[in-house]
Formats: sequence, C-alpha cells, structure tokens
Amino acid sequence: MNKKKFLLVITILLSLLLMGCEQEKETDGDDELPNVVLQNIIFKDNQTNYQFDLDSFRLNDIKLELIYSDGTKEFVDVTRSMISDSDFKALLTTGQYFIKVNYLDKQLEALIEMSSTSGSFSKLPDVALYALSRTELGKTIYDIYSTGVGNYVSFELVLNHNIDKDKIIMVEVIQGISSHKIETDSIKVMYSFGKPIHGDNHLISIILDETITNELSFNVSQSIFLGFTNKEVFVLPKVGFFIR
Amino acid sequence: MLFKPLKAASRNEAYAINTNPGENADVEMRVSWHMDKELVNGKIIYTEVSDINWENAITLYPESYESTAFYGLRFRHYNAVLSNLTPNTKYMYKVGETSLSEPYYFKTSGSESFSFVWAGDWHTYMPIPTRLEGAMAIVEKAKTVEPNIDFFFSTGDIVAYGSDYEAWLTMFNQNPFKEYMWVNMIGNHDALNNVTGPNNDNYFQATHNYPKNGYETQEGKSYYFKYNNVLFFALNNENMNSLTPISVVQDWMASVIENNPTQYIFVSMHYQWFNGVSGNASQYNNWKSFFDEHQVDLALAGNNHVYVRTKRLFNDQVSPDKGTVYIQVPSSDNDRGQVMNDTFSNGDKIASRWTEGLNTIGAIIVTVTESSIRTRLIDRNGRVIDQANIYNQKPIVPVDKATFKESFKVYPSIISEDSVVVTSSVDAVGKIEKLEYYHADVLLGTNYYVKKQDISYTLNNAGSYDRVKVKIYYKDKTVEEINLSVINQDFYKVNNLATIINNSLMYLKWDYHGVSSIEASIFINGVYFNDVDLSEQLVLLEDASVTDDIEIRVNKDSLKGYYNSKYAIYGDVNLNGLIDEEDISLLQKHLLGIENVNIEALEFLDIDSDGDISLVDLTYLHLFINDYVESVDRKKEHTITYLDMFGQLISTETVMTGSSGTYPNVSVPEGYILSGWDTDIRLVKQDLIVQAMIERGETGE
Repeated sequence: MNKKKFLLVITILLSLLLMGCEQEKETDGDDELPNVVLQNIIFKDNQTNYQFDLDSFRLNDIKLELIYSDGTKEFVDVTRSMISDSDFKALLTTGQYFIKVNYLDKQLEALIEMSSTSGSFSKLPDVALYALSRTELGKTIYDIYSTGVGNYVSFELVLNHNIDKDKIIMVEVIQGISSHKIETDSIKVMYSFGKPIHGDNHLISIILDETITNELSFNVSQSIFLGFTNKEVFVLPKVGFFIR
Repeated sequence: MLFKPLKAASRNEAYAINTNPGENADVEMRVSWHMDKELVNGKIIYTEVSDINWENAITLYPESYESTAFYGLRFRHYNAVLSNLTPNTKYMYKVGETSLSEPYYFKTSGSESFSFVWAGDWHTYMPIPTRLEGAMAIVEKAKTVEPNIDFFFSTGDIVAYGSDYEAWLTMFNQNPFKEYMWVNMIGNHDALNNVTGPNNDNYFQATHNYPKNGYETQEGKSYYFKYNNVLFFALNNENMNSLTPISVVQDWMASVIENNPTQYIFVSMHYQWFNGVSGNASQYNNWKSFFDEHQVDLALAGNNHVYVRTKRLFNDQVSPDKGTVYIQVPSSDNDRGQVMNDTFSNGDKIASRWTEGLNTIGAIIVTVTESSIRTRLIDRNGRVIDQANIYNQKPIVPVDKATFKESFKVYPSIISEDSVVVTSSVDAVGKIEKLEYYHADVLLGTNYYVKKQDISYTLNNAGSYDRVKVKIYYKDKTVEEINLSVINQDFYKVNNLATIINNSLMYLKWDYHGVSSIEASIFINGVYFNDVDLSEQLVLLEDASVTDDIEIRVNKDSLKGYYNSKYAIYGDVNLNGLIDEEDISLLQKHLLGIENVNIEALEFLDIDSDGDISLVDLTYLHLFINDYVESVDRKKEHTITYLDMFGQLISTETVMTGSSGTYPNVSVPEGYILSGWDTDIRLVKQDLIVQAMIERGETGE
C-alpha cells in the first residue's frame, strides 16, 4: 500500500468513527440536568414523498429530523452510508421507488419520484460515475466511484474546477496504469486496466486543500470510457455522470 | 539490277520464288518456292551480300509439302525460315536441289529508317501482259525517286485469277521479287477461280510463306510482322465478315498489339477505306474505332483503283496530332483504273484523290523514320503527285539503360533442373537489338526482345552455372555487358523475417531452411547495406532506424528485394524492443500532454488506423500486453499491388500487418507458365508491389 492510499484509508476510518455518535445529547459542565434522549427520527417535516431531478439531486436533499425528549430537534443530512447499495443505485435512475434510510437503529422509508428533463433512465447505464463529497479536517474530499451494468477497460475523465490548482491533490485509488494532469481549470485522469473492469469501484479521490462551496463538475463531453467486446475496443455510448 | 522486259515464267528446278518477312524482320525472313513434286531434297543456301564468294553461306533443308491448291497441278511447296539473321543487313540466297536458282535478295530491318514501294491491283493476266509490265515498271521508277527501297509491298489483286498458276509464276519471275522482300495480302481477285470449283484463298497460301501467326484458320493468310519500329498487319478480306466476324479479327489484333510494342502500327487489307470515285466510306466505318483505340498510324488498302489519302482522323474528325491516315493505292496495270467523280462526299476527311482513269499507273513510296512517316504518290513518270508527313503520335521513350540493366534476374527453371531463366524489364521490348547470354565466353542464347514475353528467356543446359553474362546490344550500336548471379533455390527458403530491437540494437532475423550456405544482400531504404550469409539467420543493422525499410535482395546488383521487413514497433513507445506497461504509462503521459514520446514511435502507435493516436490505441496496447488481443499490428493496413509479368496492374489487396497476401490469378502468354512472383508476401509489414514471373513451357496438362 503506498503512502497516499494509506492516508486515504486512515481518513475514511476516522470519518466513520465520527459519524452517528450522537445517540445522547451531551451537556456541558457538571450540572445535574436530566438526560435528554433521542425520542424519534423522521424525515424532515415528516415528509415521506420526494420529487427530484436526476441530474441535480444530492443526497443531502433528504434530511432527517431528530426529535429529542426535551422537544428540541436536530437535522441530519442523509449520507451514502445510510442507504443500501441497491437503493443508492436506484437514486441514479429515473422512476418511482422506495428507498430505506438507516440511521442509528431506525429505518425510514421514502417514496422517491426521480425524473429527468433529458428523458427516461430507468436502468443503470453501462457505466455510472458518481462523486460523493465530504469535508474533513478542513479539506474537501471527492470520492469518485463507478458502477453500472457494463464493463470498461480504460477511461479518460475530465473534471472542471475553479480553485487554485496547487490546492488539489489527486489520489489514484483503483489499481491500473494511470496518469493525471491538474490544470488551472480542470483535472484530467487517464486510466488503463488492460482488462475489463466490472461492478462497483472506487476510482479516485480528489482532495481539495480548503473547504469549498463550489463543487467539482464532470466535463462530460471530454470524458470517455472504453469498452471491450469481441476483441474490439469501443467507446461506451451510455455513461452517466452524477454528483451525489 | 536492271528491269528486263517481261518474259514468260521459265521452269528452272525451283520456281515461284519469293521472299516474305519473318515475324521479326530484324532477324528472320521466310522464303517460298516450288519444285516438282518428286524433288524432296530442296535446299536454300544463304549468306550476306558482302560474302561475294558464298564462303560463309548457310544451307538449310526446309520443310515442304505436296500442294494440291491449283486444279490439275501437283508441285512441292518449300517453306524456309531463315533465323538469327543480322539486322540491317543485305542477304542473298539460292534455292533448288541439284540446280540452284539465280540469287535472290532481301534486306533485314534494323536501320534508322526504311522505305518501301507500294503498288497494287495490277491483275496479272497472261493474255494482257502489259498489266504486269506496268506494275513492274513503276516499281523500277520508284527506285529513281527513292533509291533506298527496302521492300516491295502490295495490297492484293496482283493476279486477275488466283487459280491462274502461270500468272503467279510469271509474276514471281520479275525483278522486284528477286530484289526485295515481298509483302502481300489476299485480294478478291487473288482468290478467284476461273478453272473449276469455288473461289478460295489457298492459292495465296500455296504461293507464299508468310508468318503463321494469324488468327484461327488464317495462319499464313492473315499475319503480322515487325519491320524496324513498325508493327504491320496484313489481313485477308476474303475471310472477314462472312466467315470470321471483324470483332474476332480485332480481338486478335488487339492482343498482338498489346504483346508487340512498337512506335508505329500499320494495318493493311485489300478493300478500300473510302470509295475514291464517290468519297463514300467503305471499310472506314468498320475500323475507325479500333484504329483510334490502338493508335494505328497508317491504314493501307487497295481495290478501288483510285488513290485516296485522308487527313489524320481521330474520333471521326480531323486531328492534327493523333489518329490514323487512311490511304489506298491506285491501280498500276494501266488497264483497270477508274474515273472519279468531280464531286465527292467526306470532303472534310479526304485530303487527296488521284487517278488517271482507265489507264492508271501509280505507286506509293512510304518512308518511315523514328519521328515520322512520309508518303509519296508517284505516277508512271516518277513525278510526286501527292505527299504527306505523318508525325509519331506515341512519344519516343528511349531505353533507360541503367534501369534496364538493373532489372535482370537469373533464377532456376521450375520446369527443368538443367535450365535457368533470365528475366528483364518489359520497358526495353522493341527498343534494343538483342540480348546475348553467355557462360564464360560460350553463347547460350540470343533474345531479340521484340515481344513482351521475350522478357523471359530460358537457357537450357545451364542449370549448373552460377553466373551468366548478358551482352546488351542497343539500337544506338552500343553494347554493354552485365554479369548476373543465378539465384540459388535456397534463396527462397527464408521465412519469418523480422526486424527486432534488443538492448537498443536493431537486428534483422529470419528462419532459413535451405541446405546451402549462400550469400544475399541487405538493403536499407533501397540502399545497399551489407552481404549476409542466409544460414546465419541474424544480422545487426548498424545505424538503422526503426522506420527504415529493410530488404533482402539476391545480391547487391538486384533492383528489388524479394524479402521485405520493417520493425514492428507498434506499441514500443520507448523503442526499447519491448512492449510493456512502461510504454502504456509513457503513452498516457503523451496523450495528457505531460511528456512527449519519440516521434519515430508515434508513427506506429495508431493501432486502429483511424489517423489519430488516442486512448483507443493505448487501450489496445494494454490489452495486447495482457493477451486480451493477439496482435496490435493487425490494425495497420497495407496494400499489396499485384502486377503481371509486363508490369500491368492485376489487382490490389489490403492486408493487416503480419498477415499474408494471396497471389491473384494471372493470365500468361500462350506457351508460357507462371514461374513465381518476385516478392514474398508472407508477414507483410509494409506496402508492397509484387510482379509475376513467367517461363517458357507448358503446364503439362
């Protein structure tokens, strides 16, 4: 394991430890106040039906409302870890479906109506790229994953950004021959695997040395994924790009 | 020799003697004569005119047969073929068995220019001897206008009745037939039968010995020959149309033209192109398209008894610099001429007409030089009535001596172990005097190089020779010698030729299955590099570049490589001889603009041949490294251009790098077989031009 990957794993472990530890509200000092306990978890405003646009939908568009025994409320964004793989993949398609959100020992179910102005995408494409962002220790980390029903043997991924390129660190996660180039307004990553890649894969992570509000974005027109069938290399026609 | 008064045919031991051209009149003549049928040991003795005491005379006993062509007559027809004559040389000969004839004469072609006198339609008829006298007189008169007459030419109707044997005998006894080679063709009168039975053209065949190279059924009746730089056709009108479609005749002629490249083409037949009386088109309409297509320069005819010369015509219009001049000879018998109308059609095409009416005697002198044809119509007094200069319509392309010399190859016969085959370029066919092949100083053979298939010449009883010397006799009288190595059969036992890199050094390697230790020559980009022993199977290519074309040629004098190779560096981005993940990484960096790769390597990275080096190419390479694809070379297309033995395109084939081509079917000249191809087409790594090779012989089927 190289140094970069080691750091990444540590980062992920730390973030897992920090999540979901708010079962009991803590109090300051030594005051003998009665314990405040979490009484209920619902979707914010008790909403159970959601309508989203496939391209602009973000997981934090769904929020949990935590109701405590003292009547106070707290709101928590839904994160990837609260959703099963299959429900998460559903959120990369259009249609009406239920998803389950697991938080602490509570499971909530929401009816999602996902649509797209570009048409119907009821099934996962050959390759679906999605980016999940998080903030850690003053840094913003984008993890970029792939899933989908097809395979690919190489790709060139271009992401646009608008921050100082010196504050960007590229971490090549998946095994393969890779190179990248960070330019003033874009990040180009090229991977070749020399074999077909299937299933769910964490491809890269991009660490931005500051907490930013402007997201990275996929440059769809310049990104390309290549498939391999019958000893022929070809450009995969159905690749989805999502920020979640 | 002076013209003598006409006398009746005298019956010496040999009679009806006349000299006809061989197919290549540079070196071959044919003689026809008759003797009594019992005289089966007839002979011909010939020598150069300069050999005044006949000390170097050659004696031949030619084939003969008993002729029954003439009703009630039996005689022995002798057909002699005099070969290996010296070009541009006057010869004399005598024929007979015990009592030889007086000398007859001819001159072989090969001079810078030549002239012939053309008379026709004199209808020899013994009751009216003035007909023949008039014709012979104008031939004599032509000699005063043009002293250097090389041969005598006629377009038929030289006898009134073909069946009249005495007319033939009397005619052949006249001086012009003794002095000159004689070119004639069958006119309608020459086939007329006034004795018994139907008309037929066998009278002609029984009295002449023309080349037996005509189309089917017409051997010796329709024929062609080459005299200097002219391909002559003499056609039998009596056979065409009713018996043989003109299209069949034209197909045969087209084939002959294709195989016998010359500066000029003359086509002659008896029936007129235009009616000289009215100007109406006759044979013209049947032939104009063919003449246009095949660049016929001069069309010669008779029959009409009125002289007609057209302007140069192409595409049915007057053309200043290409096309055919149609010309027909006036009668020359002072007896059967025609009066022509004052007004006539086709006035835009016809340049000149001439007749003296019923009592016409005229002839045409044709002089041919390298650059032009001159025609002169003369009357009985030797006055030039009309003349024309016709300039060559085909460019004069001299022999490129250096290229020609380089084109020679000698390789073992595939028919006989005792023979070798010498091949050379078709570009010199018809443009040199001859080739002589020697081993040491022993002459093995002579090739006059007049027909296209003469590019292949088999030397028998030469299988054990490792070298052959060739003497090239050019028409400019220069002679050059070249020494050739006979290609060892083991030369063809090389396979799996490859250019490789090992430790940054480039090598050519191959498998060798021969038994002999033979040397061949390595060429890099067409430049001689080194000789190598094929059994070593490896040679270091010092200073060679990955983009170089590497060849193995028979020897350093060879013009073309039989084996071809090029470094298959597809994917070898760092040019270290290996295709590995380092190459992938380098190419990625190149594509991302981080780091440029060697420009020579770039040429070989477009694996999918889409004109662009991209992630697709990189991906193929990576899959190749991991054995997901068998080869990255397969994506490169190469064109193999297949030529026939004469350099004409047969077909092209596109193959992927490392694949093999498939030799196409090729039509070879009659009497020859395909002996192989001059380039190996296995493991193709670049575009190739591949030419067929032929060898005289039969397939044995």
